[in-house]
Amino acid sequence: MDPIGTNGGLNLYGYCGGDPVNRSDPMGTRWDWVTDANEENGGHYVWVDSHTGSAALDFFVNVLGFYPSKPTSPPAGFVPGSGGVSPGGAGLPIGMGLASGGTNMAPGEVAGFVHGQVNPVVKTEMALATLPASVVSPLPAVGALIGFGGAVLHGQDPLEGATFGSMTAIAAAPASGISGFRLFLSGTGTFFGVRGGINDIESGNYGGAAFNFGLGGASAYYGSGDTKIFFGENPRFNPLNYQVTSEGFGANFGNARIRYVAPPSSGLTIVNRAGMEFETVTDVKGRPVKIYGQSSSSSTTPGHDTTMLEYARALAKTGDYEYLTLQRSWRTATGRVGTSRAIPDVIGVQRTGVVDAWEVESLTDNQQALRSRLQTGQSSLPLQRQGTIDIIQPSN
Amino acid sequence: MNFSDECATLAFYGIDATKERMVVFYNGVVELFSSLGHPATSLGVTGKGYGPKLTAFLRADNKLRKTQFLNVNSVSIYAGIPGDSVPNNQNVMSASMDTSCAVIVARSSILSLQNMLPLLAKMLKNLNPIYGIGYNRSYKKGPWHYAVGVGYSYGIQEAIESITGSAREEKSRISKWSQIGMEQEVYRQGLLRDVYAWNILTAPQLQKAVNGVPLKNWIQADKFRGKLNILNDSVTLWEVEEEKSSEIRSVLWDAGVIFDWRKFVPQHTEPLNPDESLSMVLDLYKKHGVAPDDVQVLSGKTGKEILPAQVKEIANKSRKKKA
Repeated sequence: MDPIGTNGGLNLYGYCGGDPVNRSDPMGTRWDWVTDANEENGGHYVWVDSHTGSAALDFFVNVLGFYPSKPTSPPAGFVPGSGGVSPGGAGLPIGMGLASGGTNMAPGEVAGFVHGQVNPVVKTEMALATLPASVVSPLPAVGALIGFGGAVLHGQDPLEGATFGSMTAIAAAPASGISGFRLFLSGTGTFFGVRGGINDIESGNYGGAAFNFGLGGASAYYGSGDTKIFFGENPRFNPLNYQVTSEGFGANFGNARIRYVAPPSSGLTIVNRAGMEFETVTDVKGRPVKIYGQSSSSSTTPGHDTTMLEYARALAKTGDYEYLTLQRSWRTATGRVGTSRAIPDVIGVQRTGVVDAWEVESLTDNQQALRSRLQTGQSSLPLQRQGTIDIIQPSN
Repeated sequence: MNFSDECATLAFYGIDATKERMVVFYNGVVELFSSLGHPATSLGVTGKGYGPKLTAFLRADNKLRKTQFLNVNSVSIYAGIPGDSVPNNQNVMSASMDTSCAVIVARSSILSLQNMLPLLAKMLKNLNPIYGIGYNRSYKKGPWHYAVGVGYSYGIQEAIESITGSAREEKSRISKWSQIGMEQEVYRQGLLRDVYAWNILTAPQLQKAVNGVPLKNWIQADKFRGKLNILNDSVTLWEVEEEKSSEIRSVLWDAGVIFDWRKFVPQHTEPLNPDESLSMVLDLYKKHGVAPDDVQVLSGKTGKEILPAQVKEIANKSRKKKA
């Protein structure tokens, strides 16, 4: 988590480019690669280091006015070395709620934030769903906001509606919570921050909120002499999974840094069942790429099954694919993002989130039926995820 | 018997796909195949009551006629090599029709594109398309697949070779034609899929502006740009010689007349390079009263400060580039 709390942007994972597994920022001013851990870890967060969390509270107090008066010292939950969560500042209960299930915290960590990061999707959704009104009031969901940010960051693909839906619902929340949520969402660097904070700010598309936060943070802290921009290497934003790959750039509005980088990931997960994993292939970058499904089909055409398997292996090696399936439905292969139950011979989920599919033709296939199977399946995906569809004549 | 690898292909989009017209299409194709000495050998039908496999022509034809095309979504007619079981695209002729398009493919040695003119006239009368194309393509490159917007690989080796590079790009473009071009019927907006030997155009395409003039006028303004042949009240055939197509394509692409799928996929954000990122953030600061000189810029890679003069230079360069 960001050592300087939400001063560094309400995305508390932005401090290390959204990639705390691989990066650290012990002094709260910069990040480096910690380890060259593989990219499949995206979405899991490991606390690395911290030295202060107080600014976070200041932000909420001063900017959002959640506290009746500015506390003279940060609440315990945010204090480094406190040993994790303690029932400190009034604004923290929800944050603690998120943290309460945490097991990965080490002494000295900023507990209130940590656990939301460990498994953002589940924890956050649970937290949001179970927030009692008494907790939300009178201090609107500071902790939950933070957790939610974690969820959005790496949890779900907003294109698919789930996360986005949550946001819509939140935006329509009772007045007391609106600004807090909005500001938080906007500041959630890797979702609205990256999306809104960089390009969409201008257009106001979602970024209205991002804009508010980023600049709100900036103006609140500007003048402290800490205004910085981190100028990284080659930020590449992927609109499909809302992640920025490679080195990111970051802006430090006041102390509010927004630095984005996340491991490349499709944002999709297969509906995995026991025994479905077929084999693992090592790609050109040395990463394991799983092939799920089965390589034997009912086709009697010579070479059908070997073509299917050989091709899937070749695709896996390219480094472009996160995983592949053999004879699995679009629904299964894309974690129900694609709704079609049609079963193409091979589906490849690219790291960019785009999904390709292939049919190996049999001598007796009606090509219209093959085509229809491919096109129907593809069209059940969001347009941005639709990749190539291809028919392969088998090798004998 | 030897046949050419090359296949002449006619494809029609935005067709009247009523059951009656499908019957006319079907009968016409069956008759055509027979008249050319290659009667239909197999038939594929999709729709309720039909399986995903091909069936011997006579049996399937009998069922189709008996049921009067009830619940039929598509028909695919193949003229194969008698006694030889080959993959579909190696048949000597094929034709298909569904609600989105109608396609006729023939080995050029049996029926060349130039000899398809009478067939084209017949098809136009029946199908009343908004747009169509005619081209030559080797059976190994899947002429039918190209028409309907599906990639085709002739064997595993070719499939593997097309995983990367320009072949992959081409397959992507082919897929996008079905996913976006056909799905959204972009030809009704006057867009062309590309420039082909035959471009079967109607009002939306003919009136599409190219450098300020309608495409029709633009073509007529220079003999180099090909020949227009009015086929009926609504359809004009634009023939383009192969060696000239690349230059014409380039002009039409720049004029936004050729289908560019990227314009149809929501692009949330273009990737920013580091210079653009810096420039944008500095601009944002400036907008809110923070002078660029007051902003300290650190290298994300080294953590070291980038000197203000260098920052300014990077930002200016990026702005100029953008402008």
